[in-house]
Amino acid sequence: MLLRKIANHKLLINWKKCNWYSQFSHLACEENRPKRAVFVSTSDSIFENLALEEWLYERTDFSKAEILLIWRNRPALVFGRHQNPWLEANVPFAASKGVCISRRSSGGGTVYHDEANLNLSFLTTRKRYNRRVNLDLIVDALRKKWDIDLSVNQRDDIMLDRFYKVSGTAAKLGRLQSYHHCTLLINVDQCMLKRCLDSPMIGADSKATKSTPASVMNLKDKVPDMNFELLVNVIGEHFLQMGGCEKNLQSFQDINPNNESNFPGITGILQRLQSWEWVYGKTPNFSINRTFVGPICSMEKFSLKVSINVEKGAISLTTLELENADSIDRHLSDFTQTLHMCYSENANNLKLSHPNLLELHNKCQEYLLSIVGDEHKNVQLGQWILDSVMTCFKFV
Amino acid sequence: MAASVVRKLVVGVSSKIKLSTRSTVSVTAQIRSISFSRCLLDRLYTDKHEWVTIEKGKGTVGISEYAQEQLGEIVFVELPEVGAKLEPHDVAGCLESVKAASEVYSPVGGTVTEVNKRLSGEPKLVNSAPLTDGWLYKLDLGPNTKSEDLLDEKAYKALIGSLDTN
Repeated sequence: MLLRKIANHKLLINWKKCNWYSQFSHLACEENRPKRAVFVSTSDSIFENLALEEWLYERTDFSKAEILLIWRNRPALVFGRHQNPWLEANVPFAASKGVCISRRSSGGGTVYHDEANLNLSFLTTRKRYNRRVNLDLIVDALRKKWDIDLSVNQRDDIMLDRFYKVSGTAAKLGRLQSYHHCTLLINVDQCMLKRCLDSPMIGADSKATKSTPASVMNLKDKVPDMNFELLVNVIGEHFLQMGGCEKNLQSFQDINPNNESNFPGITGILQRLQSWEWVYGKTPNFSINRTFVGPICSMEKFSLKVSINVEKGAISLTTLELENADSIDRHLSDFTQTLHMCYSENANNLKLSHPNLLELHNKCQEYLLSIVGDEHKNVQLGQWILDSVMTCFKFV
Repeated sequence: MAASVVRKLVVGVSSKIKLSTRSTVSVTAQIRSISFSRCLLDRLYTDKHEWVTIEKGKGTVGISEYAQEQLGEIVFVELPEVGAKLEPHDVAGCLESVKAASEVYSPVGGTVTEVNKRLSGEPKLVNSAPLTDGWLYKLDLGPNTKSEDLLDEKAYKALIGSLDTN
C-alpha cells in the first residue's frame, strides 16, 4: 500500500529539479552510455542508508545514470525481505547491545554490520542488472591494488582464499529499475557477528527464507592496511573507469540522506523502514510447538504441550494441553483450560515485543492468583504452566 | 534470421507488430474491441511477463514461463492481501529467488478476492506450473478495466523471441 503511495508521489515530482540530479548533466562520460556516479553516504544509520537506497531506486531514471552508493553503519542486523528475524538472529541480545534491527527490501539472508563493514549498492535498470559483473568489478578492483586471492563462487559470494566468505549479496528487481547490494567485511567484530546471528528460538515451524551460514573472514586479516576510505576509492574509481566516466567532484561525492529537501519523500521511507510493522510485522507466518515435562519439584509429572501461531508478527492462537502420565484429572484439565482462556483473551493479536509479553505474563499471573486460592498444588502447577509459556517466547 | 522467425510467428495475428530494422521489435497490440466474454480464458500478458485470464469480470494473475525461467528457483512468494485494491501496474507482490526479490505488477486493476494459499508452502509451484497451479491471485476487475496495452499469446511470444535474440 505504502509502495503505491510512493509510486504515486513520484508523478508529482519533477525529479530533474532535485538538487542532486542536476549535477549529472555535468558529468563527463563517453557518449551513448549512461553516466555513472559514486555516492558515499555521510550517514552511519542503517535505516537512513536503506531509505536513501530505496529513494534512489524509486526516483532515478537509470537509463540516464547508474549509481554506486557506498556506506557504512553503526552495528546493525539486517534481515532479508522475507525472513523471520527471531529465527535468524538473537534479537534480545542484539537489542541489549544497542544493535539496530532492520529489514531490507531485497531477498537473501541475514547479515551483521558494524563500522568496519563496507556496503555497496549498484543501482541500475532492470535490463542491465548483473550481479556477476558487479562482483567481478569489486574483485578486479581489489586485486589490482592488493595481492589477494579473491574469487566469486556460484552463490555470488566473494570468497577469500577460496574458502572464507568476505561478502554477501542480495538484490531487488522492479519493473524498470534494480539494485544489487553487497557487504564487504573489512574488520567486523566477529565475536559480535557470531553471537548476534545465533538464534535462541526453539520449536519453530516457518516457511520464511532461511540464511545459509558460512565461515567468514575479515579482509584486514590478509591486508593489514585495508580500511574503509581506501576501499571506497579503489572500488569507486574502478566503477567510474569501467563506465568510461571521469572522477570529479560531481561523479564522486559525499551525500547526506538526512535531507528532505534534496530527497523529497525520504522521511516517509525512513519511517516505514523503522516501523514495527516493517521490521517484525513483515515476518512470514510461523508457529512454535513445544512440550514441557514437569513441574520439577512435584511428585506428579505432567506433560504440557504449547502451540503458538504468529501471523504478521502478532500472536493469532495459543493452545495449551496438559496431560498426566497416568491419568487425566478432570479438575486439572479444567484448570489448564481456564489458563488457556486467559491467554486467548489477552494474547490475541498481541504484537511480539518484550514489553507486550511481560505484560501478558503479569496479567496471566494475576489471574492465576485470583483463581487458585490457597491450594498449594495448583499454585505450583499454574506457575509452571505460565513459566513454560514464557519460555517459548524467550526469542523475543 | 531472428526477424524472419518473428515474422512467421506473427502471421495472422490480430495484433499489429512493427518490425524495426534491427533485432528490436516494438509490439503495439491493436485495440481490443472484443468484449471480455468473447475472449474467455485467453491469456493476456504484460511486457514485464505477468499474465491475466479474464472470466465474467474476474481476473486470475500469474507470471509467464519465461519469467519463472529467468528468476530461477523461487523460495518465497509474497502475495497481496485479500481486499486490497490494485491499479494497473501497482506492485501486487514479490517473488524471491536466489537472493533477489522481484516485484510483481498487477496487469489489471481491481479488488483482490483470493490468493493462492498453496504457494506459502510450495513456492516452487510457480516454477513448475506458472500458468496453472502456480497462479498468484484472483481479483474482481475494476469497472473501467482496459486490456489494450496487454499482449495476446502470439504477440507475447513474439516479444519473448525478440528478447532472446537480443
